[in-house]
Amino acid sequence: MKVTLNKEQLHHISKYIKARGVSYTDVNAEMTDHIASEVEAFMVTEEVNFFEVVKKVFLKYDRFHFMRIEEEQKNKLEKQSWKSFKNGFLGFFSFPKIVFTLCLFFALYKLVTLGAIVYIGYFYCLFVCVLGVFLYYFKRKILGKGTYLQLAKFHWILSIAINIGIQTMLGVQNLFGMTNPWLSSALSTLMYLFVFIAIELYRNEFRKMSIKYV
Amino acid sequence: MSNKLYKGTLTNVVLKLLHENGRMYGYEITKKTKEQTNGGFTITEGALYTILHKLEAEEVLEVEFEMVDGRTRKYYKLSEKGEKEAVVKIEELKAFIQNLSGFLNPKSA
Repeated sequence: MKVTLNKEQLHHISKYIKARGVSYTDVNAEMTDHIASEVEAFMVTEEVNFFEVVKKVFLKYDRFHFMRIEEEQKNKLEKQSWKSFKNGFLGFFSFPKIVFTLCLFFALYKLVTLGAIVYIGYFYCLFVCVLGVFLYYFKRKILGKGTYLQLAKFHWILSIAINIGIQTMLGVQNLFGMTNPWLSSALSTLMYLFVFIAIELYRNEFRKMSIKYV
Repeated sequence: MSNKLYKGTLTNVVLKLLHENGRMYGYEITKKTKEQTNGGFTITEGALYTILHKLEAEEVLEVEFEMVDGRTRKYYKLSEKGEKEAVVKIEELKAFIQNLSGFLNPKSA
């Protein structure tokens, strides 16, 4: 008859492995499954106490066994993260993204030279306030409470992001004492570019995770 | 039997098992190796996971996680690159055994 360990027993094994220096969740899960399979195999052939069997199985492994596996995993992840960054960075240099960056650069340059950049964030805030009031009084019933809150949250976050972006740009100008609009626009575009790459990298990692955990 | 003799062939053994069985998890690989060699060849867990993680990092193996009996199980399978590599390695292993056999039994060769 097949023996299957229960939740508490699995938790006990996982805790034991963690105490031996394994902090990565996937390494811990893999080791827990391995030890649990061994324990279950033992319990089929002999009618013994679970804790006795666990002790017996763990005796097979020397003190540094789990730590070694953890160390290898750490090295592997370091290599992988550098590789993903390199791929993400190089992935940016494709045709539509470069055109978009150039457009962004010229839009920023135009806004800087016209001196209008400071006001855009405030205008957007005002727009969000008016929109918020409008949606609250007239559309709440139609959209429903959840959708209204989602929409309001999205616009507020966007408004904050735009303001932070503009303030950063002005900060860059002040920090380097730059009066040259070309240079400040280029630096700001570069900052947006890195933010874009970072978001892309996170998106890819999450996608990979969702594929792995089917 | 000395495990030192097997050490160099461990990767090939893992590749061969995955080539034959599709996807497998760590404990299953150790069990299968023991069964197929009637206990004559055992892979230690330390060596096995070192190899599996190394092959995973080299993208020779792909992994899948699945919930089995209330716990997360990590399955390994050969990637496209791994399939090609497995065929080459198995051939290399066969040639090695043949050469060794010829060396040990000069008369029969």
